[in-house]
Amino acid sequence: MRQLNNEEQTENRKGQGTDHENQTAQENAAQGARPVRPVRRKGIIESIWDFFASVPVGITIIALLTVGSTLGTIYPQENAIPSPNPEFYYFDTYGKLGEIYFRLGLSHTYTTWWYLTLVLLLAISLVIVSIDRGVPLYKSLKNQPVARKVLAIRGDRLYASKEAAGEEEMNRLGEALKKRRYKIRTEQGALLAEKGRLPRFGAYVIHIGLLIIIAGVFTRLIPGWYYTDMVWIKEGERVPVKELGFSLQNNGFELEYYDQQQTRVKKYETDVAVYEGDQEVAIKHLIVNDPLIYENTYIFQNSFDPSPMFKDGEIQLLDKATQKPLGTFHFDFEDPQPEYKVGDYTLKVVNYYPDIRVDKDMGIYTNSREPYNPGIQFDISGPGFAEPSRQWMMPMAPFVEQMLGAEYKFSLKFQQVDVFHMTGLKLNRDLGIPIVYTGCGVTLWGLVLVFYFQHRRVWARLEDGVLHVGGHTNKNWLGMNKEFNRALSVIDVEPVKFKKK
Amino acid sequence: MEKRTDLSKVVTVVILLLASVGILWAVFNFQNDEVVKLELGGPAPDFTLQTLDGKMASLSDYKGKVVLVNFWASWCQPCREEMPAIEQAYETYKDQGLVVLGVNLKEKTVPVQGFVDNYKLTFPILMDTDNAVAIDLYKVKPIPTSFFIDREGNLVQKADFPMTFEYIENTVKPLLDAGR
Repeated sequence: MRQLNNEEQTENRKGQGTDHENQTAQENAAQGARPVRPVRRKGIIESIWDFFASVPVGITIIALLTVGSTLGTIYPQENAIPSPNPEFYYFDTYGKLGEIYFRLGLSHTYTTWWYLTLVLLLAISLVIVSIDRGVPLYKSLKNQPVARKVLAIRGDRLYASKEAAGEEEMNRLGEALKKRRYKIRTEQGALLAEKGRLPRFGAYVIHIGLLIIIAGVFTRLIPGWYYTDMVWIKEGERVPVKELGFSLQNNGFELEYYDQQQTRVKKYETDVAVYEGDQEVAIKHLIVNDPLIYENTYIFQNSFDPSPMFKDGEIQLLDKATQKPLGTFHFDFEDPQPEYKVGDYTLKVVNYYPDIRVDKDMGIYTNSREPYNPGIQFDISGPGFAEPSRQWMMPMAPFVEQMLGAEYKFSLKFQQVDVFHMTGLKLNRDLGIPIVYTGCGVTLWGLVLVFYFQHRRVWARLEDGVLHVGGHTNKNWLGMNKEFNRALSVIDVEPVKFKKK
Repeated sequence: MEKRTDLSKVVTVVILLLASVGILWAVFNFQNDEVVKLELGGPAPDFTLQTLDGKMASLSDYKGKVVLVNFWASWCQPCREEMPAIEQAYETYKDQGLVVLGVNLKEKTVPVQGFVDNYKLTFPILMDTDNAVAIDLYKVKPIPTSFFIDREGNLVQKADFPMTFEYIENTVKPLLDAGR
């Protein structure tokens, strides 16, 4: 296998158990007949430590996370389904399998206890592995000797020698390596040139990056750091967002289509205002993908309700027989008055269904609170009518009179009517995002260190007038070979080739 | 030297495990927070709302009576379904001390008045214009949801489904008898 320098021996140390066993044995001997208890307690900590420090355990955790994450992608997660009722949605959409998926909690995989536990186990493993391997590596590299045994240098995969050499040759070699940005340390008759020690810690840099990402994600638990919601606002309406302490007001919504049939949407935009109490603190004309940012909360134009709602209108009352206009009144579909006066006539609202449905079995009812399809039943009374005339008015069904086969005494005509669409705004606040990006940056940096930089070392040793030079790198032996030969050419040494394993 | 290393290991392991357990606990609590249940057996939270005819009514006005609080809306089909049963129960047991409070969720006066007239409801209708009582106070998720409150003002039972007359009768009878 590869050449073992003294620090690599520490690094490659497998089964630290032996070390600790020795140590425990020693301590036992030193303490004589001390009871077993303190030793056993340490044993637990030690075995936890060794468990997390083990590479197979780490790989197992990563593998389980991979499998778990994959399971979460089979069906959409709960936050991505177009329904507020996951308990029905999965069965209705995906059948029996969907039902099982929901029951197993896989519809919210990434917040299940087992998934979060795995993530935390990974975090623990990353910390312990880094301490367990990184610290000894750091110490041994810091304390590495300048002078190595000639026998060891001879065994290096890159080895060259020069007869009849002295301190001068060694110093020239040192100068040449210094130009190639090596750090040089010398002792009597010995030289150590080293560069790229940091890349040796690339793996631990990656670990730190991953830990920062995990920490960034868990910042969502800090109250006020994470919030996401969808808000539906009618025109002119102000909706409080209690969790964030402000209100959103829709000051106007525009919807444009490309075509007359209104099948392809061109644009939808909202004039939105943020209110703190009664104070307007921010306004913006929201278009898609251009959010309003208020106190780290992103307010996006997300969607709109494609069905228009009735806002208000002018209704004209006519005598049906003569078609003589009797006057007009203003009707608010959101919140109608109980009674309207038109000249001498009184229109009492007997029934109002904002979203009327007429069903053979279920009768007349409203399907929602919102005025999508209003149905008004008036009792109209006035001079010349002993009994009030009861009649329906439905803007979406203008021929209701004929449909019911009724004979109304009055005509009700819309002079002008305003409809509007509800705007759908998405709120997003995630203060952990910069932390996660930082973590990504650190991880990427670690990967670059690992893949594109090497830890290269050259040792030189003078013995009996012969200069022995050995070279070592943790990867890219071809590159190291070139550099080695170029440096040695300064003292006229023939190029060598590195030994294959 | 060796002993020191061991101490730092102990500290590291303990800190990591404690932090993990703490985080998991926080996650668990965080998720639980949203489904805080009203405690049955405890006192019913008091509220004051405007009635359909413009007066103010509080739950505490009816102390000493058995109160059925019903959260409903006219667009909710199961709510319409159970209305006749509730009205029947009210008419049957109001003389023995049963009060029904129909708390309407966020609807306007005119449509609610029409509904009450059509269904010939005689119990008080309270207008929860911003869902504050239903959602913030009583944590109502589906509607209809009904709460039964005994003569001492304690929440006794919750029903988040359309009730039948028999169900209301069976629930209310022991409560009415208990106070006498």
